[in-house]
Amino acid sequence: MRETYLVILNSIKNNLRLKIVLIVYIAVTIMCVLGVTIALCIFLIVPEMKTGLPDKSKLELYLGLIMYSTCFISLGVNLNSFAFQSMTREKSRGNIESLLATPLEAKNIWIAKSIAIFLPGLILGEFLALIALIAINYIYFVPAVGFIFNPWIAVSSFLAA
Amino acid sequence: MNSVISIENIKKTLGSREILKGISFTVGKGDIFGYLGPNGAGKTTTIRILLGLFQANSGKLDILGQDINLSQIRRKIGFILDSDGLYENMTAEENMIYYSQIYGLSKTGERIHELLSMMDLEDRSKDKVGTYSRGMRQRLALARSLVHDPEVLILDEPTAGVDPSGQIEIRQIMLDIVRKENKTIFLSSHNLDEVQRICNRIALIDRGEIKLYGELENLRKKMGSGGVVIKTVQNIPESLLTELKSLSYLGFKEKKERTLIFSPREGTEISDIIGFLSGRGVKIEEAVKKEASLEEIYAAILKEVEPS
Repeated sequence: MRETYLVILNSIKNNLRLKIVLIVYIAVTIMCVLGVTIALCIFLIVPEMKTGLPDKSKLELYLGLIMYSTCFISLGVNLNSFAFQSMTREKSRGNIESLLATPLEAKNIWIAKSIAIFLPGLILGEFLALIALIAINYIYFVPAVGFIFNPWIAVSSFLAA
Repeated sequence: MNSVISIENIKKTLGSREILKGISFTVGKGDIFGYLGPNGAGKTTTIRILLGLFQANSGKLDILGQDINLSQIRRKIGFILDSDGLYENMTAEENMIYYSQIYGLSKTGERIHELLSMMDLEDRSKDKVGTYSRGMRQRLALARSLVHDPEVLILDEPTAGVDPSGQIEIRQIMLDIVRKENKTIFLSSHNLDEVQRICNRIALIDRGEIKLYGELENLRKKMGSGGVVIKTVQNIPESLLTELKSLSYLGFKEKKERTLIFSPREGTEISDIIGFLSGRGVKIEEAVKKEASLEEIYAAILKEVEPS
């Protein structure tokens, strides 16, 4: 378990040191998330708010959908960026082979590597989903119907993960 | 012999190709065992089997008397694979710390500094490995392989791509490791000169079969003479040279000023050549019987197995 944790930590550290990949990943994720959030707001939330008496359950559903998309996009871009940079590069450079020749078990190495790739995407995704939740609430909901927060909305972003 | 690595009739097939056709050898404690062979002979496959990265199809493999797949036994093995496996974004020290932690060691600071200083890398220990030259990377890989104080080192071409001065340094380090730290080295190499200089035992593999195996000195004796060099007092007349050429059993090769070089046939001794020349009135200044070099042994063995 301790060795698995070590590999996770080392892989995350190594991934974060790939500065150009990190910058591209964050920039692409923010752009995609922003685009999807604005589109969903325009096509779903704005028409509902114009009805005068918006359906709160529908708004909760739309908010959940935005949070789900945010996390999903973040993880998708993350996997594209880091799975190649981390796993493929490490395999071609013999890092993984060297680890396999140590006392570490193969399954622990693969679990650790997968978590290390997955974790930054999840953290950024959750962070962006939280920003989207707060921003949409203050832009659309707070003046008319108050702050909308349903625990299931938060769960939706984890479902994406 | 106290055996450290024992391989018995190991066979390995990849796809439809038989890579290893039942190889057997033993490496004793304190040996520097040279594992030679041309490209595609099966050297790297053997190393992968030794490290547990490949599973042999059949045969028996023991390292320090135990199965390689046990994690305790892997803790006693240090290795360098064909690619060094170092993390380029990390410093030399971080690479060393990471591997020492993987081997479950704590408080290895002193050992790490000792090894980096042994490899002459202490000044650059805080630099990222990506900025290192090939020679420095190989030395760091060697230091990393020693971090957990293993009993056996399995090295796959540790001097490949390293400049001559770097090769000399790495060779010296390997010799020091065996002499001072009493370790055993299994060294796969293309570099015959390197193997000749530091190995006491060798195995030559070709097309998945061991063609030659044993003590290097014994093999040299077994393979016979590398030639006879005779230096004469005066110049040899042309007529005598023609006569020498006509006697194939003497194996006359060439004349360089007053030096005659022979590669005599089996059964012909240096005394026969001296006797012949003396009989023709040639005064001999010096006569030397050369030992077969590893390169000559290697070339002879591979020539024997070449398909006609």
